[in-house]
Amino acid sequence: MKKRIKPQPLRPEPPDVSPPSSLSLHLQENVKELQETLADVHNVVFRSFLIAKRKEAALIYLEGLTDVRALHDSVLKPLMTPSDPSLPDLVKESLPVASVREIRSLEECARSILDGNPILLQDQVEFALRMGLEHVEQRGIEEPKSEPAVRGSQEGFTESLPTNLSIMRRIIRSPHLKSQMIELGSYTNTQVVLLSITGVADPQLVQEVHDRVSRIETDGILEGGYLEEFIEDTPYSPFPQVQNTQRPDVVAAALLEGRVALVVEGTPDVLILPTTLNALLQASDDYYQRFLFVSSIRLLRYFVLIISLVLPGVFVAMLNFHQEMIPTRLLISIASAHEVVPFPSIVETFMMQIAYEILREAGLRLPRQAGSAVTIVGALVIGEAAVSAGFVSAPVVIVIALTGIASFTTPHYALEQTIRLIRLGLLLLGGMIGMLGIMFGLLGICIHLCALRSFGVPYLFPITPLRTSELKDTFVRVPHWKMDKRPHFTGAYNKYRQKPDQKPNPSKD
Amino acid sequence: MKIRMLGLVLLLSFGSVGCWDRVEVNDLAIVTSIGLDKTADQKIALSTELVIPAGSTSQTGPSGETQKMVVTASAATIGDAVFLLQHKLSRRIFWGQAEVLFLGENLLKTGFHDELDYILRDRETRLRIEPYACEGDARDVMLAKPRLGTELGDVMRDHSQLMFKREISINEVAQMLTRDGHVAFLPKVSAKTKEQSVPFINGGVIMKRDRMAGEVGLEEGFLIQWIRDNFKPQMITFQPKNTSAPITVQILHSTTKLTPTFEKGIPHIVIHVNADGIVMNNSTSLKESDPEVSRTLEQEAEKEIGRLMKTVIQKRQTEEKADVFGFWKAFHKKDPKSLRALQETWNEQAFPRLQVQVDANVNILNTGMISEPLKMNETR
Repeated sequence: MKKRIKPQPLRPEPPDVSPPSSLSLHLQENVKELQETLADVHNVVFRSFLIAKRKEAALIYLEGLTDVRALHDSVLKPLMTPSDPSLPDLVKESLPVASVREIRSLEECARSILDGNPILLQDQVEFALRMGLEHVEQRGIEEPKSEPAVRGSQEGFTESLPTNLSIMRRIIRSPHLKSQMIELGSYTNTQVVLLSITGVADPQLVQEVHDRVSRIETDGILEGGYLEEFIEDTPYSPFPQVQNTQRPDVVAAALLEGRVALVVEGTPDVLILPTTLNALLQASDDYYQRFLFVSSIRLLRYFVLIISLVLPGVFVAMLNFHQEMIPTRLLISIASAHEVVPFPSIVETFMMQIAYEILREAGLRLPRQAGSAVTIVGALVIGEAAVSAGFVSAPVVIVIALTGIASFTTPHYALEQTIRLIRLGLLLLGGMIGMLGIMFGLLGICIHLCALRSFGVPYLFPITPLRTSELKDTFVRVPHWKMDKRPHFTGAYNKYRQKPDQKPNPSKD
Repeated sequence: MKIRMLGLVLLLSFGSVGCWDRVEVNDLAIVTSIGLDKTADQKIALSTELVIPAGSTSQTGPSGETQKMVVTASAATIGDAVFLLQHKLSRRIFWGQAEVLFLGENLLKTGFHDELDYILRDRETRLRIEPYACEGDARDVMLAKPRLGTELGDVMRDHSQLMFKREISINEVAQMLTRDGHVAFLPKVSAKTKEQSVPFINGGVIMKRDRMAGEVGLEEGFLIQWIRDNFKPQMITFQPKNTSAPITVQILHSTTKLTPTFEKGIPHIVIHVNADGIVMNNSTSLKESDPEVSRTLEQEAEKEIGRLMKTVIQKRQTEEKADVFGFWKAFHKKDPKSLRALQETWNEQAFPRLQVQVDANVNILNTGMISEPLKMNETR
């Protein structure tokens, strides 16, 4: 086989390649330099004034990103009013601003201004003062729209990283909750925070995640999805190996189990890793509602997962290859319904499946106001008109509708997408070689799932490899007083999460 | 590169596999029941009940009855008949859904070895298909319309279960005819009633090797099934001594156990019947709530059961010489070695001389809603 010469990949060029230049003692020089650097940023404001009517100074800030009122009240006013003849280096101490930092390079100055933090330059001083007065308009904390829950916290993450971190700190009020900041993207400089609990999370796991994330060199990270694809174990797998959520309580629960979270600036979706197939089938209120009910719902969820995966495929396979497997009466009614349909059943089912996907995608992309129109048209066209016109038979509509509804019971959207994709493959396999094809497909999926790992944790854990004691939170959920041990993924772990034998009992004394 | 190769392999495998053996439901003629007859000119007449798919979907509601048609072809052998039948139809005959097999009287009388062989050999026909012996021609039974229920197969199975506790599959029949004493017991269907042609079960047929040995009515059929431990609730009516009216006890559940023994080389069998019953009607003056009386009633019922069973067995011993009760199996279980020698001559020689004893044990559970007979006539 001929070896191809691969083209050299283009390395992302960081915008600043020159070594950091330090500030000079002359104010005018510094201001000129900065004006050059920020030449094409239209909303930079340069404000020159005198400190205590004696000393020349300049305040540089970005309009719209800075809290101008605070700047006026706590920087300009105190500095301009003549008070005690204070020494210039005391300016830092006398400013009523919480966060003040000295910076000494021009590049840092420019960065700080663009972040929204104003810079104070003084004549005859070779450092600038950076004031933490950034003010970003942001939406309030709202209910997570993609993961509604009946019971439990209704707050969801927002786009703001500090807000998200503060939410997490409010839930886990322990100094053991560690947050490491990593900046990614040579242009976006997106802040990514790695959350973990020391003593619970395996230090090796934390290190591995940190390494994998820091390795990324790209021009920008706009969402956690970018990150996900860069750090996955098996990038070609259709299965999500990183869990994402908009619910702070889900992140907190994951951290307490020894997992690690990645909070990315600018997105309400927080990444949780490692994850398992089982974790992707758990919903947040599974842990808040009564365990007997939850256990039965869990069983239903696993059952429905299989239904939504194989139903169209099995339907076509049985109808085309194994007619003896269908109960007589059912076969007769299916045959009667199919009598007028001009297409073979594989084409019919495939067509309906595609139509369903079109409807879903359209419903997702449409403006809100038009959404209901699509639903009505879709339901009418697909459900009623197509059947009565004899394009498709009613049993196929039932199968597709059931499958569609079934796939919505999967709590995590990413897994649901995977299943939609695989379902189509199984449908084709079933239509080609019947149950044999379905079995081949399922075996292939099984083999793939057994081989799949997420940050060293087997994807099917704890079913394969079997950890019987950890089945307590899979097909059923045992009551909280029975979950004494944490799930053990890899490496070192903190085994016990609570005092044993806490089952409520009448006291013996 | 690896991925691309894999993609190519997948694409090729899809393409080469294709859908060559795919069959649309609408290219099938679905057979729901099969009938086999022997015509006057010694040909095999194969009748099939086929489903006619309704066609339009929106009009037929759930109450819509599925339409059926019966198609018959006659040929020298059943294989030829199948071939001929296929020529009469535009769709491929699909045997996989056939649930019942009707065997005509003439066929059973002349032997159905060839037909049984074909059905067991055929790939599509299920081994679970249930055979029924017909009074007259199988085709006539298939043309009769069941009233309670739409599917002939369902109706037959329900009825058979009601009468004989369980349905019997062709597989079991073949095993019984080839192995266990060469005798099988089939439910018998008749469609000949005075009012209307409705197929119903009116007895049983005793098969010996490949042909019919004799017929029994429903009552004898019940008893045969009872001895075979396939008990269905039934009535035992008897008249105790010094009383003027009969008493009926309904037996609710019962188990039967066979205890075979050899006494000086002569086979001897004890039938242990353990039955629970309730008093159904009693217009005598006997107070059945009295434990003493209850005990005598039980004894009377036991005696009656013994008498009934013995009669039925005696008839089989003298008339058909066919061990329809599974005695051979019981002996074989006890002493396989000496029974193997007897296997071929069992029905003709050993079975008719078999000593039978019935050990019935009836337990009257309750007396219904009243505890003593109504006293309407003081003279009683």
